[in-house]
Amino acid sequence: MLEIFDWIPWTAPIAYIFIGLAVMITGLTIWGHYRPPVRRKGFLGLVTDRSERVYISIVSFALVMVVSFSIVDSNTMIWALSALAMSAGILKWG
Amino acid sequence: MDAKRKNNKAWFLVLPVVFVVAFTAIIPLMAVANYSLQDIQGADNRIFVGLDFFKRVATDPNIQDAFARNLTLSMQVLLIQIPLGIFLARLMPKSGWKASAALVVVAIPLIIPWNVVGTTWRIFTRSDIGLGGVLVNKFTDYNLSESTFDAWVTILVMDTWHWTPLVTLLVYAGLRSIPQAYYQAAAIDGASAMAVFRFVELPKLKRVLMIALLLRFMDSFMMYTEPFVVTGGGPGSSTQTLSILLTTIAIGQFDIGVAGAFSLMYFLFIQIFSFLFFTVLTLDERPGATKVTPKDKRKLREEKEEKPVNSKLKKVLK
Repeated sequence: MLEIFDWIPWTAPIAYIFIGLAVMITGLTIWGHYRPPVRRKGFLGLVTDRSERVYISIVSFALVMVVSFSIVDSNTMIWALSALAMSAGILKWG
Repeated sequence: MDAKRKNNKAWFLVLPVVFVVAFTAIIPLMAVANYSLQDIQGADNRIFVGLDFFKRVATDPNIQDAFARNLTLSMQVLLIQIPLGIFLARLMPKSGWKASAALVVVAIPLIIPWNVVGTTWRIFTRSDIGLGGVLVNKFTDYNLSESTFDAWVTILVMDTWHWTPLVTLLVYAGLRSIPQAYYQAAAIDGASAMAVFRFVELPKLKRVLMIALLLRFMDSFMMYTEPFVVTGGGPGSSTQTLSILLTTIAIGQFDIGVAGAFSLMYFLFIQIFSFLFFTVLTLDERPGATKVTPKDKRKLREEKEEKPVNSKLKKVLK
């Protein structure tokens, strides 16, 4: 079953990211089945449910990181932490 | 607050698609993500470089230029093709053999393979033997391989020729699904043609237009074959789209790591733009998202105040 992944030159971080994404999607599905998501409006001005906020926070995290890459000599760690804080904010209040 | 539990078993029917997408998109994406973090010199010689390739891609002036160029191209494509598609769809006959004939004629460019479109236009625009090239040269200097402006306009015209029919067909289908009663009501109200378009057709076409917009954006943002065949990305790099640049890096220079990082960022931007289009266009269709203007509030209040009067009236009438 897992042979289909063998040809990929795996690195640990990517493996963790994809496992994390898979766990998150499965988790959200199960959570959504037992506690149907409630739509609400946050500071983004959009009516979103929890999985939509997860998507928005992941994409905006990636966008902030790409912006930080385009700045020469930026401190990736500081940017990553602030992006993480922003994503958490979107998840909670977005 | 719709907190009722629904029967979601129908979602299992999506599983086959999930498997197909896993094989054609997700598993290859995993490979690309892995390439982007390491410098692969040989089968057993892989050096982990962290985020270096991402930084290199994001600061590369060539890639930044290609990004801006491709974004401009996509915006121009949308600005031209969506209105033109709507215009053509409104002109098309509504029924009878003429409608079928028009549909077939309009659909012809869509069934021509990309490569053939490119080759056809390559010959068509040649200034020595091409019909279009020779004709345009009678009025103004036209040379695809020298003038960046000519090359750009050619790509734009070619894409418009190739893909406007898609918008036209979608809009045509959307127009046909509007019940005749709407037009009759508009005619009774004495609405002008412009008003019918603005208040009857456009709102009904919204979903179809959203699909057209998304498809056209994604297709034009990853346009590859036509510019590759017609101009080869030139003159210079004036028509080099992101896809052409990416292929050069990945296959021409065999720089798989950089290409992997590039692909992931490319993917991210397509995600973001598509999400923005989708969200903006479906903003007032989301449940609970209806904007309440002060006018609506007043109306609601008036309706509430009217109710007691009505019930009294009913009593009197009884």
